[in-house]
Amino acid sequence: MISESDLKTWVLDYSDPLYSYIFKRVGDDELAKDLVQETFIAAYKNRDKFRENSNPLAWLYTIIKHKMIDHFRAKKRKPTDSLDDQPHIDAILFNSKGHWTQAPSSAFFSSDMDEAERKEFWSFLQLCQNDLSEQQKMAFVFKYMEGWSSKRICKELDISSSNYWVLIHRAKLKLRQCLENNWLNK
Amino acid sequence: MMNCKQATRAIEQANEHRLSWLKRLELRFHLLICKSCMLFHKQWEILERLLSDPSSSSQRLSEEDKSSILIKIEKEIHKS
Repeated sequence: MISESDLKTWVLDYSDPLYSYIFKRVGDDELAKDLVQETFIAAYKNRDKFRENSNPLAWLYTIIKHKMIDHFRAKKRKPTDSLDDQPHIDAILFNSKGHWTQAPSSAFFSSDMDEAERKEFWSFLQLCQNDLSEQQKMAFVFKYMEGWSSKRICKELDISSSNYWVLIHRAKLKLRQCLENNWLNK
Repeated sequence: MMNCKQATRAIEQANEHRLSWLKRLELRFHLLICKSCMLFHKQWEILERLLSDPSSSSQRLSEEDKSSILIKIEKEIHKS
């Protein structure tokens, strides 16, 4: 059973990793802080479910993961502006024969980024993630950050497998292009 | 023959073993002759590693943020 003082220690010890985790996924500072706070409150309210000797951070991660999924589900239900009148990214990057109109740049990031470049990368990623449609964002986060299978994502988004491949392909192309543009113009 | 648009999509499907052996062969061949798609493929592999590595970014909360979280939590707990 966790006491109030345990909870305080947890906030001091674990709010950073929890914030880092959730901020990368929702891309909004205020929202990320709210979700961290809600996670601690939920942990306290369900304190009888916490087993002594188990890892508190692992338990908190489980809670915040559910909060993230709930957040995305709630957003999915809200109608958003249709982006259908814009040309799709694959119609911009490839010509009618399916060849690149704008080939990927080799000057774009490499595996030996230093600390400063990594920081820059993450701030560009946040920017570019918010450029995706809500559905693309969900697919992207679930696949690349959470490691979900395509089957599970199809079920969560309630889409067919062929829709999924179009969705993830466009999300990937769009995000990559946005990152590259920011990277080359920095 | 597979074009670049199809190849970039097939890379994703190959990762999840959703390609027939014939398509896989076509993709391999395409990547062998197309520098742009190979670059796209290699760069995305780096990106994927970064995305799934929790230590690759560590945003921190300020002390102020932490104390405001503590205050809000206390309020919430004592409400009930």
